[in-house]
Amino acid sequence: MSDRAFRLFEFIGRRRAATSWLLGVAAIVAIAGGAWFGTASSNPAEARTAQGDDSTRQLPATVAAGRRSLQGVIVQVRPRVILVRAEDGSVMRVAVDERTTIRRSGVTVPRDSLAGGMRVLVLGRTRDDGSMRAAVVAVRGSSPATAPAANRPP
Amino acid sequence: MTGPPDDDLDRLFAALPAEGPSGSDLRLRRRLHVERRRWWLALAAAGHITTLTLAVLLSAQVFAALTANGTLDILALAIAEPDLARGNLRSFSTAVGAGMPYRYSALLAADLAVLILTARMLLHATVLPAPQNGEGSG
Repeated sequence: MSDRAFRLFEFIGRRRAATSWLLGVAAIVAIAGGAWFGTASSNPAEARTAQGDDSTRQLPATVAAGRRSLQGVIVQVRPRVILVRAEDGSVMRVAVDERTTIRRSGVTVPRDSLAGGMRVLVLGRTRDDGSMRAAVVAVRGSSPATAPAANRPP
Repeated sequence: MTGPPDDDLDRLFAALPAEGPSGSDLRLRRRLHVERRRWWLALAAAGHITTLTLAVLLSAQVFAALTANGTLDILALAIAEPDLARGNLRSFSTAVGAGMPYRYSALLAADLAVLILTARMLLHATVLPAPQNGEGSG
């Protein structure tokens, strides 16, 4: 047993740099693997946003105080407010004013370019009335399942 | 100045290697050193494997939380559109800060520190004494 350990020590001792690299790579693989597993196993209830659209019939929910971001699909566009169905299925009111930056494909676009069915990422601040005042609305694509029913007149 | 003449000192130093440990002593010391180091190696390896496993689990927790609350998307947007992030730095930073799983991140950082420590222990545990002097390093 001692001889085997001795041989192992000599082996590692001769390949100290390689062993260091091996340990470093093992750490990186462990963290990256964990990150991949965590990302893959997390289900942000995205499927729900792509299902049938009856969300404009439901009353808008209030955005939790302290919340700074919101992701979902636009289900209705009003002059200064958009209704966004979040990934948990609730519909949130998002106030969009002239100070809101709206981005699509890397360029700033006007407010009236927002339409139902668009998947958006909203950054902003919750207000006392339970809506969110958007500082940034980033369009991340569209949700085909909701697009035809969305953008109805208020 | 008193003391032995230079010729005597030369003879004394010339005699020193002959009083050093014999070959069998060296081998015995080396073997004892290896025995001692073997336990350190086992301890360091067990610690390293444990911290490595914890790194996987904590990393999975951190990224699951980041994905679930959309923070990963915000970070991806900031990377994809840096000018937008610069222009709305406050919005981005507060949104990321609000969704950051601090507890798991702190645990992951602590785990990484232990991971580095155990890696150093692993490498240190395999240091063998130089064959010519037979001295162990601990």
